[in-house]
Amino acid sequence: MRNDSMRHYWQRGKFHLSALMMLVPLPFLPDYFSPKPIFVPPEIRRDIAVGPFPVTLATYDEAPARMPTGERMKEYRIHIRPADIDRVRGVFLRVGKPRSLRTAGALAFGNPYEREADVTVPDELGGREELWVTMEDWSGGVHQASLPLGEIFGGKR
Amino acid sequence: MSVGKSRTRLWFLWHSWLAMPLWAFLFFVCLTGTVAVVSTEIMWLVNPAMRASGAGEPLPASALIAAAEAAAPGGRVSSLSWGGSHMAVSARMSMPDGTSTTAWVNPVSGAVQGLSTGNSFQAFVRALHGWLMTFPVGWYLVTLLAIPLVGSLVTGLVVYKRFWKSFYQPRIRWRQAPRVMWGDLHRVAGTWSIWFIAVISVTSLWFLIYMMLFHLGMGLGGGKAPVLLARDQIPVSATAPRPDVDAVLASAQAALPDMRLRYLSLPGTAYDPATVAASSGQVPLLPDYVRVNPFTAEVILIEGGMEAASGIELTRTIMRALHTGDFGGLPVKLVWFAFGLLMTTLVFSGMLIWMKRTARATVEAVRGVRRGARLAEGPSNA
Repeated sequence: MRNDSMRHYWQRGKFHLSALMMLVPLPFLPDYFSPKPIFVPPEIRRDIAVGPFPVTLATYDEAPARMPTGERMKEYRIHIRPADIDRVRGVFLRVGKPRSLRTAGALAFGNPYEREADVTVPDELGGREELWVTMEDWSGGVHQASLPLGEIFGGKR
Repeated sequence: MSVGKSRTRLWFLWHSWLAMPLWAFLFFVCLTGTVAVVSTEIMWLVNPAMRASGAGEPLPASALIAAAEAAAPGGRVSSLSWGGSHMAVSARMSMPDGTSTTAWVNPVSGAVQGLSTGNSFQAFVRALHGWLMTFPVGWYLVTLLAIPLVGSLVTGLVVYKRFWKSFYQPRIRWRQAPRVMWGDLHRVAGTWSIWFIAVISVTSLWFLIYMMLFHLGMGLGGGKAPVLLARDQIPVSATAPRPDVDAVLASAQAALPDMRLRYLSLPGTAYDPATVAASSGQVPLLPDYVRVNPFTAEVILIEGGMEAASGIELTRTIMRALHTGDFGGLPVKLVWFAFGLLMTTLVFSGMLIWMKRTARATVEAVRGVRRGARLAEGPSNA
């Protein structure tokens, strides 16, 4: 008897099962409506002075993403002091020392207080690579600083 | 039963089984898509800050930017967008804490009528409809629905012979049993939405192909390098010069005299041009993008339109416009909304009919096959 009614519900209900798809977005709802992301991977932050500009570099504690083009990319955010945002003309990030300003690396863009840069990471890392930060000011000055890439890389290696 | 009739019956089973196991998901996607078409209009009704009367002389863009930035301490405007004379101008701002805020500025008085933070309702509905907020898995789940959709359209046309009669003799028997009424409604609504279902399924199929191409690493950028300013074109000064947005807009206007202004994007870095997006009115589906040097207000390049776009870019723009109905202002949107509702009804009525009829038809068909098999076995056993 009980078995029969179960079968009855299954027979009628099985065609409505695709409604379960509506559950897929549910876990993402709260995150979507908060101004700051709630579920974020842990962040690695490092303070560094680039000439006259103290900045904070931040990245998620995650391995670099593999792009469809085959490159490995890592996203960094560069927090700049509010007093400096109108003095900084450009922020460039590169793995390895740039030979010139023309090859300074990825140009950071977006929110002037918290610019972001997508940095290409070599496939093979020896462990001694450095992340170079090049900052240009509006009067034409160029400032550079670096830190070991291992300190601000994240993910399992 | 004649051969023709049983073949129709087989097509009919195909028509029924294509969408039925997925009906609830398909219904959800159709409904959210229908809402997405008019999501801006819904917010316009809900949020008085988004409204403007359209009467009076509009202020220059620089005044709107100044007003927006004064309303949110530390905010820096990154773009302005004009939604039409009945809408306030939206100014998107970067905030010191890394978030963004939108200010709704009255284009005539310059009053900031409201601030909204985080994702808009429009972006939410779009994410829910397009990828279940789960990218890219959800994108594939949703776009794969294009296949049963095309299948339902084709099999529906085969099953419903003389469907064109529904164009000049639509018949819905409202007073009959619900099964009869839903059946009539399904046929009439289906016939009237043939074009719409075709448009939606073809564009959805494109969204599927587009994402597959992207994940396979096949070039989709159209092969064009972004426009950037050379280092020696950028002025040297103690602090960042603010671009003269009024001069930028005037140059764009001079380059495209009959344009309808839609969007101004301020440079994202010191090396980026300012971008003015406009509809020139010549090709309604394809907006023009005017890249302007923010320091000298010289036009660098006009992109978009018919001749400048690469094939894949052109396809992307047209497919998106056709899917969303966002290319001819409110009248087109309302047509898309109405047919979206009709399509949602089709999914629902299809399910009701199925529950009442196809279950039985399938049982009969299976029984018929078994009986046929038994008869075929008969003589050899005898």
